[in-house]
Amino acid sequence: MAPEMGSYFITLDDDAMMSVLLERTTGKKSIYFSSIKDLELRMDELEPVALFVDVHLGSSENGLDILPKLKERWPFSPIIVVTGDRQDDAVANALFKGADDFIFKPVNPKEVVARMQTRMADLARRQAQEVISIGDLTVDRAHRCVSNSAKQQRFLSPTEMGLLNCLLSAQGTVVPREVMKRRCWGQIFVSDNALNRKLHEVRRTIRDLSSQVNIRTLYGTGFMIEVSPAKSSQAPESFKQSA
Amino acid sequence: MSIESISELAVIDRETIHSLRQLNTIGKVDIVQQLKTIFSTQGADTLNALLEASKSKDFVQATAMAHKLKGSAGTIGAAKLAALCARAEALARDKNSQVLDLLLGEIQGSYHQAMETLKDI
Repeated sequence: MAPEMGSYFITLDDDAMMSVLLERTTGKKSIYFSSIKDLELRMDELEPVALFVDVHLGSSENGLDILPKLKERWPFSPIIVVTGDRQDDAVANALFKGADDFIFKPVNPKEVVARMQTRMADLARRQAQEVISIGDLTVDRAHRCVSNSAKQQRFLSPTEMGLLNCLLSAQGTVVPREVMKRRCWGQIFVSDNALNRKLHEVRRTIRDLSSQVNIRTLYGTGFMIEVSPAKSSQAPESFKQSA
Repeated sequence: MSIESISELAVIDRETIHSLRQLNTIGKVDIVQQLKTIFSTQGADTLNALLEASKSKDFVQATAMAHKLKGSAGTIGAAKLAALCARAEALARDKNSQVLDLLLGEIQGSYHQAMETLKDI
């Protein structure tokens, strides 16, 4: 069973000593993996506060190869790349592939703590901007996840999330049909039917989870998101970003 | 770093040991003892893998093992061993087996010297 969320970080390093050292340095528990394959097997069940990833994992694996996947899975957990190489372009590559920061081996404990705390604070701020509460729903735009207070959740496709996001950004005002098409599909031609089908999915998700939130169609004009005043003390303008 | 300057480095850097011990907290095992235990098994395995790789002229594996041992040695303050491994890593990368073979004897000696010194720490 995975430990409680927020109580541990992940160490991906072929040197087990790093896991012990980082655990003592940060005062948090380390879940240790020596290979990418082992980590991939447990990615679904873990929710780390941060990840420390070594570049050289033996002769066959490079820790940088899994960075995009890690970032997609845990967008708000800082990834700190650990490298013993000061001469090659590992640091630039790491940052390019999604690392939030890096430290050199042998590690300086004070530097580890400072970098981890700074990056965690950065990502917490970003998370606050990405998570919106509306009526009885919470919309996590980074994970494309909509949930309710009963902890039920549904995941949207990128296009569905784009449509919902477009409506949320309008903060209860009408979004014309053509504007929604342009924002979600850009220059690609999209029929009304295609838009309706995607919106139908978003509506169904909202209907499954919420008794307050609704997407209203204003025929010939566009769409707007509204919070039912009868079931909520919050008016449609009560869009807020979670703190 | 030249071989001459490497030989002047400490077998175990006391400053590193002191910094590590500052991470000790009440009720937990001494971190140096904990790292020493891992280093004695993991370090020996890595060293053997390095020797094997060098023998079979597997330079990719030799580079990786020298790199790994360099990191572990640096963590526990085995400064001389870490520097020798850095040199071995460069030689393996350049596929310079002649000089690498000569250096491996020194690495073995330095590893055992480090383990001996750590016994009293």
